[in-house]
Amino acid sequence: MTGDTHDHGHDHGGGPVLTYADDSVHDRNETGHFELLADALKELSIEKGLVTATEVREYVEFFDSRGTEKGAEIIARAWTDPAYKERLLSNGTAAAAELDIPMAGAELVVVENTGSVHNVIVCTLCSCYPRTILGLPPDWYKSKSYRSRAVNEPRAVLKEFGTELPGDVALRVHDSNADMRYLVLPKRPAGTEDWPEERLRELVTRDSMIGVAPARDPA
Amino acid sequence: MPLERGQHDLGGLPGGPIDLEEHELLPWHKMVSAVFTVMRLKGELTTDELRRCIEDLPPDIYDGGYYERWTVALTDLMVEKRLVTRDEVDARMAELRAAREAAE
Repeated sequence: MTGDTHDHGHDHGGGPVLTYADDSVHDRNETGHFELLADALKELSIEKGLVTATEVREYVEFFDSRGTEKGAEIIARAWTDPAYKERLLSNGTAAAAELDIPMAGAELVVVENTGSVHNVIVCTLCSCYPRTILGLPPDWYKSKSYRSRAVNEPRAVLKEFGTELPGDVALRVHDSNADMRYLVLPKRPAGTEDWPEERLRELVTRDSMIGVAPARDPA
Repeated sequence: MPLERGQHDLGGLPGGPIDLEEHELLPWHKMVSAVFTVMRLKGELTTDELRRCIEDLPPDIYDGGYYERWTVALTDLMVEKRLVTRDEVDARMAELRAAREAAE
């Protein structure tokens, strides 16, 4: 420490607010430069035998087909099968594997929303997301605003999604990384006590499994 | 000396409102994700290696679009691992650009 407290690049009053014109939602590919680079990589990878054209096509199809259905399947099972829920909360990776859902090398940790605790997921360092369960992440999940703010003003962030938490509900923010992915087990909506598993799946939304919103209201 | 915060280390920084608009992915976004995924499954490279390359990107690229970031980082990683050379990539891009312009 030099003792110089005034020249260290940030002030706490009106520090630089991140700007978002540059964010992931904006494609700077007007000139086609990056798309051309991606095409060049694909062609060279195929020619060098690193990948085959068929493998690449199959994965594009996989991305196109995978939405949030697998997540809804996990959550509805946990709502209706207490033993499964217990396994899910104690070892998410193994419980996902029971439903033939791979985790692609990362561990899955499932966190449960209750009347007293609400959980929300972020990846402040990049955009780690349980892709095999929820598909590719939405743009806002990858945005700098969400990544920066979710950890220090999560209640304000949730409000932007229309979710207002009562003051007596504890809010836990989980920061994902390359080796560990989180999934929120939302609260089962009231009035669904006699619903079968298949019907419950329809109430499980992507945002409820990230924790920025509750599950769908059955009414 | 405290460690300098990396450009990727955003947790807790002040930020503006979140843009909640949903966008469709472009075909090349899915294609480059697929190329990476197949190579990862074959053990040619790992998620952590790509993450490091993303974190090391020049600031103007890091601040660009998500898949632009990915594509440049994937190129850097493939060059680093000698799966391709920079010259091969540049030459192929020039060929593709010429072919595209000829078709227009």
